[in-house]
Amino acid sequence: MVEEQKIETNYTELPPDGLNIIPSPSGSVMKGGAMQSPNFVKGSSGWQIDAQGNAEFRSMTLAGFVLSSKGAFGGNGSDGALSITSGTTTISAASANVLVKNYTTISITGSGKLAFSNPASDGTIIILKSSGNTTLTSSSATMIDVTGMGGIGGAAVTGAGTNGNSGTQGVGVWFNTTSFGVKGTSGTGGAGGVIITNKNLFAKTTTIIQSKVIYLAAGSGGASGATATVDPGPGNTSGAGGRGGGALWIECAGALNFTTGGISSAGLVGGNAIYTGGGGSGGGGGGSGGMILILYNTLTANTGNVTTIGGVGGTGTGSNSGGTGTGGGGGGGGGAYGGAGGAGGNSGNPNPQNGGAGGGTSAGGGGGGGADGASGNASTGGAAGASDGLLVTQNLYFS
Amino acid sequence: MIKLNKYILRCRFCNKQTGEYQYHSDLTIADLNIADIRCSECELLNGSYKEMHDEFLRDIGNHDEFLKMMGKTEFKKQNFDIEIAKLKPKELKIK
Repeated sequence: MVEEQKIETNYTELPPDGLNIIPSPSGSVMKGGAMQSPNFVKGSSGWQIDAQGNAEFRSMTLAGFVLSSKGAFGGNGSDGALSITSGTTTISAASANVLVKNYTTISITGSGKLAFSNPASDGTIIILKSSGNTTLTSSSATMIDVTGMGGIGGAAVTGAGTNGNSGTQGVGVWFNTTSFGVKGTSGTGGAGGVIITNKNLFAKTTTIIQSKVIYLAAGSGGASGATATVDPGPGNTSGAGGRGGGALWIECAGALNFTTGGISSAGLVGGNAIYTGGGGSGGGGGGSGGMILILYNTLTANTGNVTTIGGVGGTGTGSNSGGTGTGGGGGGGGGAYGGAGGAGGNSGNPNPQNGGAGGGTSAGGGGGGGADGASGNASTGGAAGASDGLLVTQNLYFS
Repeated sequence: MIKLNKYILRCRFCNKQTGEYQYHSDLTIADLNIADIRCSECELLNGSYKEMHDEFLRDIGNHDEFLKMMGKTEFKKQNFDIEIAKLKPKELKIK
């Protein structure tokens, strides 16, 4: 029957010349090519659906779920392309705990350097995402500098027999609350910050990262030293605690080319005590280093240097007072990720009071203690803890 | 086509180009969070912004006070040191 022959014609009928969308009983059919928005640029803007079944959108809401490239590995590139070839460009963290930058590419070459300032009081975790390549070939030893972006150190104190101030715990330090350096008191050096409890949960190994959970911690601040109980002068000043280093996480969805120079999240040195005519005062403890994680999809080179060391403890002062009171204890160094930290400095005599040792491998050294007697000598701060809590590896886990 | 703005990174002292920043047109310069740019030569001459920032926050005051100090010292370490010395206790020599 004629009527039956008209059924199920499918889309074999030729369209009028120039049309790409063909009407058919089962719906419109794209003949070839693609349908797209006027502003479509692959990987950058607009949307496109092609006849082969590929589609690209900037974001999409699907059954109530918002799909956005912001959550994708390497980010969405919304902050554009950063290229530094010389000098230092400093970016403010605006006192935020987490600073995220979504670059299309990151390029720090020549002698260029990218530094950060103005962290939150307990530090900042800096996340640099690159949807394309990351080229870090600058000759600068700290081409990315997040030193001193961790927890703040204890403020210095003045006067006779004044206890120091403890440091501040770095952001991201979970599970325990005493990773900061503890204040020195008149007669006793402050304790170093303790090692992070359950440190194996932090993003230092691929064993942890494969679980798709990233824990990073900024370094904690060292404590300030105390002043001696004998103070006939105008008021001695102890050393302030050094600030911890910030945490840094780089996501590179393209190729990582990291050579020549370095990246640092070191803790800052503790301040030296200042002798102003009284008894001795303790130096400040150094801050601990922050953690660094770099994940890349493909690798061109990875021969650059990554540093997460702690800060050296500050020097305590000797005394000219001839008194018999107690010296000012040095501040404890900040603690962080790893194992044992640097010991506090030996102080002068009589009645020396050492600072507390730093608490972690990347912790800062304790501050030197002050002396109170007539022949008391200046005392050196503790050494910085070694680097730890860093990982540069291929991304096999995030998409 | 997406519109990109180009911001040339230039030294605050000598205006030398130190890099560039291509950013999306829906952002402003303020969104880039740039606190300071100085070329290598001017950094040798006038010191490091970050190091001044670190020293000030450790020994003197907060970030807002630091910005006032930068305005007062024209972002130069040599001026900064003079002003900081006025705020720190005078150190005596131990006999």
